[in-house]
Amino acid sequence: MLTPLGAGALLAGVTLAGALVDAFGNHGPGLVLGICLVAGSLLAVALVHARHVRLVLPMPPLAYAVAAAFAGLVGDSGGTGGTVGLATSASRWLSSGFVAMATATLLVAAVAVVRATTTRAR
Amino acid sequence: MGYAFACAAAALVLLASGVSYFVVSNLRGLGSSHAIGNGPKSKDGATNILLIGLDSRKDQNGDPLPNAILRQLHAGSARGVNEEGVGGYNTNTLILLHVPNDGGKATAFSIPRDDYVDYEDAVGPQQHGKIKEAYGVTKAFTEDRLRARGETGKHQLEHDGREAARKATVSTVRKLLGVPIDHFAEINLAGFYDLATTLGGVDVCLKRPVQDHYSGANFPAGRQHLNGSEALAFVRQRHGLTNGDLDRTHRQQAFLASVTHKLKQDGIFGDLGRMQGLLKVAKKDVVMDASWDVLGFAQQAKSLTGGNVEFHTLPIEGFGTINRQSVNLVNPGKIRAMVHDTLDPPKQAPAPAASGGGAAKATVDVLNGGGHAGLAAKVAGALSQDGFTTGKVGNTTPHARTTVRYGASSEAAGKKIAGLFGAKAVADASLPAGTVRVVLGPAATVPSVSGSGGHHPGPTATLPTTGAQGGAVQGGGIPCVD
Repeated sequence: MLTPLGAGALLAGVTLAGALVDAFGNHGPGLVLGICLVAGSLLAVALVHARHVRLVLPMPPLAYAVAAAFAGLVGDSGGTGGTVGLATSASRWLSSGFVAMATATLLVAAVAVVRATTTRAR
Repeated sequence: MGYAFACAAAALVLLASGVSYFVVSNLRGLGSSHAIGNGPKSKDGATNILLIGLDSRKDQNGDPLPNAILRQLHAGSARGVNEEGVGGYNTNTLILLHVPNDGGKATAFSIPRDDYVDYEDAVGPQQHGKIKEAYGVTKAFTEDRLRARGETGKHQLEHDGREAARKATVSTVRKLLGVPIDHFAEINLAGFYDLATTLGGVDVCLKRPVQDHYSGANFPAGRQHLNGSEALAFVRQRHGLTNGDLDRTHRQQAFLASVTHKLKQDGIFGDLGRMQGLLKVAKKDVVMDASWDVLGFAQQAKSLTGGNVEFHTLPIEGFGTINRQSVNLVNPGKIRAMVHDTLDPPKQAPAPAASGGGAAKATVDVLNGGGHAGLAAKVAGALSQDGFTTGKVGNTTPHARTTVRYGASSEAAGKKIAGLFGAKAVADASLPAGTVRVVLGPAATVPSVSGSGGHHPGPTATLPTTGAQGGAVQGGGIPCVD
């Protein structure tokens, strides 16, 4: 079983790997990052120690924000000059990850509830 | 404490992402038209956008706008729109906006709506006319064809008619200006009104007071704030203006300059509520092509959001009467050259223009006595391409053959023009000095001239700063106009 820090590191590692692929292959946050986020979140919430399962809950959006900023600034920096450019770029990056982020957060919440319930039952 | 902070931050990211997702999805939903087709696209990363302002009193389904809105717009009544055909489908505003890829100054070209041009991709027998009518003419004929094939759905007819009309308008402008058109946006009367209202009104500046009951424009001179319906009156007024339609074109340019200025001044791109309002207007009143990534364009168009844009009005050669309609006579070759040289200025200093041995200084009247509709305008355009000044253009009584007569001191010009038609030049003391009059017979065709013309821009073309079309209107502030 992982510590909360270990679960966070696992999620961050898998998500950043997806960000790397998207940065160089997709010129910005895309599908690979989204899939890695969901997979990483599921692994993290499944492997973290049952006592700390709730701590994984806020991790998916935060992991995505960091990874998307990385993928965007590396792979899609063409339009980021100036306030308007950066704001519109950030909007694009955030919007492209909404479905993955919401899915990951809901799945993490569902798994967390199941694990917490089964642990208490024992 | 740390956990609560992480949860709040995560919730904030999720919320921002959700809002962005909503906005981007909405923007994607705006692009519903496929009329742009597979025409040539800009290759240097720049974007050319055709802004189409439609003077229609109907919505996208072909239903008249509500009476309350029509009253606000001084645009007749729903009954008038339905039963008497008040307001048609004229594209009263046609502006080509060129946004360079490097974030530099954007350039806009207004096309006067009465320019007499050859249509491209127009449906039906009418293949030339005022540029504003390409839309309506094509729409009407497309609908007739569909009805003949058994289509009866009103909304379907409206949709298909408008798509064909957009294609004709885009292709006609592309042909006239000789530049690719990458995207277009069409907005109707209500859209102008809604846009100005959502922005909380716009500031404009008038050089002199105006009063016009047709449009409802009743404004003092100087800088002032206009609400939605006043803004619409401001852009629609043409009666009582020195240069009529051409002054109205400057009003439209000033309105757009004010809008971009306001977007920048008020920081509307960072105001979620007002952005949503603008999106609502766009969804209701604007039609764009499906291939347009608007958010990506917003990144490119820093010049627009910064107000760094210059508006030009395309030149006309004069006024004429064709088929009992008052039209603007234009020289397409000259327009293409001017647009080309404005967007991509020649590196070398222009050489002095050839004088044509004095012949080119003559004023040429072209009267159509041959029955080929629109031929006089085409001939006048070709001759002006050759350096002649366009005089009177219109129809006359039928003539069996082409004749060329010249007034005092224009013998050389008369002979040169007569040579183009295989006719003999005859002196005519009744004509003013310096004038040549060509009366076209049934066998007459548009002559080949030696001017720059055609599709190949000449090296000396610069947009005029004087005359009816006026000089450039600068963005980045509130320009004062007539």
